[in-house]
Amino acid sequence: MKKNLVIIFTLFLLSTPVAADWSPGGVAMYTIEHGTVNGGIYIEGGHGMEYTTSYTQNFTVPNGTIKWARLYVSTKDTPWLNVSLNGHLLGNYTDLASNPKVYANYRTDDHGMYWAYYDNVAYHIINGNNTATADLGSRVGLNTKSWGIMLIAVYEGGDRPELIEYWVNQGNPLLHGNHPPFTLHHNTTNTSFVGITDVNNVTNATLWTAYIWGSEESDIQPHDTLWFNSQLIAEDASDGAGTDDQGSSWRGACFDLEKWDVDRYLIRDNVLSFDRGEDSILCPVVAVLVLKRALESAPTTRVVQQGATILPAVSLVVTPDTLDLGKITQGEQSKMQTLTLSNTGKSTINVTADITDTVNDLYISGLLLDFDDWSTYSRSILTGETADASIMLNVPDDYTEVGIQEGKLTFWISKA
Amino acid sequence: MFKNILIFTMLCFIFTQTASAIGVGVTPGNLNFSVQAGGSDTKSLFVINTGTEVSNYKVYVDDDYADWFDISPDNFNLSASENKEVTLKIKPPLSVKGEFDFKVYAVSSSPSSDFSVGSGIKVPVHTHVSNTGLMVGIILILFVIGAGGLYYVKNKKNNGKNT
Repeated sequence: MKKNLVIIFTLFLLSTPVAADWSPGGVAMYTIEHGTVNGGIYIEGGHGMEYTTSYTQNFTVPNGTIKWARLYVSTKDTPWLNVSLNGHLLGNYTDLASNPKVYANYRTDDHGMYWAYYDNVAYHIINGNNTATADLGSRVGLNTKSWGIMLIAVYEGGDRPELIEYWVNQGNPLLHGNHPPFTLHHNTTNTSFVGITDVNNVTNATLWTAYIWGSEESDIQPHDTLWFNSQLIAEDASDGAGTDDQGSSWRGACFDLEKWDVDRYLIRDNVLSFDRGEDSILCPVVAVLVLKRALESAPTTRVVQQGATILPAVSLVVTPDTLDLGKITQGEQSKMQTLTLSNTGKSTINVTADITDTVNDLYISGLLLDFDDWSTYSRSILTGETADASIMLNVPDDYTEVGIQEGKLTFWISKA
Repeated sequence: MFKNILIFTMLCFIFTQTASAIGVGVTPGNLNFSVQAGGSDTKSLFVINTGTEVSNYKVYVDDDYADWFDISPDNFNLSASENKEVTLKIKPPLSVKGEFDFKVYAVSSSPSSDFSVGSGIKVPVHTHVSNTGLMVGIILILFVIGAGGLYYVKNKKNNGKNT
């Protein structure tokens, strides 16, 4: 009987599904970008805690071609997060607790501490002065605020290009004691930077850390510590003392962005550990590892791979890449324009069309491809051949919107 | 005369300008995964900018299978002729097995304009999920438990005889 019970219990354990990834301690930091560039990386942010419905942060981005960028915004107790960069709307997040681009922790009822990211910023960054603005709602609630806006931009070239390899880790692990509203301690969290191909030719290794919550500098308890491969590199790393590149001191002592020299501790696979010490709450959100190498000893497996010529199995080129259908009014039809679709892959392709990113139905209801409704468009193009697609727009008689009408026409291909 | 030369030069300039093109290419043209329940499998997809300008690229999978995949990187810029290796790591839920067909999407978009044009590729994906490993594991565990039980019972009987 006892034997049967053991077997049944074992089978029960084996058939139990794996638990979901949700964690009340926030989301552990993980690598979201790793690459190399001959240029530089710009990491800045600020300006500290401010109770407001409109939070603005300026950035001075160096010269160079932006290759990758991400803008981060922290906020608390707001119904939405509507962010723009240099006047370009990046997105209005209204579903903060469930949006995959928003990390939420410290949730109580409908309130939460949010760390959101925007990955569509690279096109809107300019060399020089940039302004990011976060709209946090129509009124200041009890705790409506932001601790800061942060920008990471990887650029190629520039005034003093250097060969760098970088890892960007993001998340929002929440470390805390067992004080209300928490019932358990959560003291430490780790994040990794793995797969350094050649440690020996690294001339400089810099670690950046960003926090949106830590102890204040004046508190007397033993503060948080920061460890790199089990070596202590900073005490009270989240001290909130510092300034942004505009010269503004961070307010409120919560936001903190600093860099640390980790040359001597660097190994192939690295572990960064955050320990809250006696800080009541500690919330690290970004860690970036930047390695500099001498130019002559640069080639690594990754660099060689990126420089190789890779011929596509399936490919489509559309010329031109923008359309101006002109100024037209209700009941009118635009002039016809022609796009050329070229099959530059090694296989015959089938082409269809789709329209997205439209605020209203103008393009969806009025766009004609080859004199027919765009949704019925279907062509087959042999390898090495081209096909023309004529485009016209009919504006309905009852169309009432005015101004520039945005939209995107995408030609989708699949191997025939 | 000078005016005519100027007009001719301007016309030449206008007509010799080439329009910018947007493009996307991938290789391979299709992906096949074979994975055991609870395990993972990783494949690479190279995304190539076949256009003439810097473009932004996104790589994603059908919504129904999004939770199965870790795609890295899934959003990046490429200069003309540049390529990027995208790693697709599949880890299906323990509860599924069988054959699955869906798509991975690689889509390009040009810098924002009023009405932009993009190009995208739907890459067919075939996935075979088996639970052979899991079954072997269960059988092995049951075998070990059974053998242990038999040994225990036999040992107890022997002890009984000895006393």
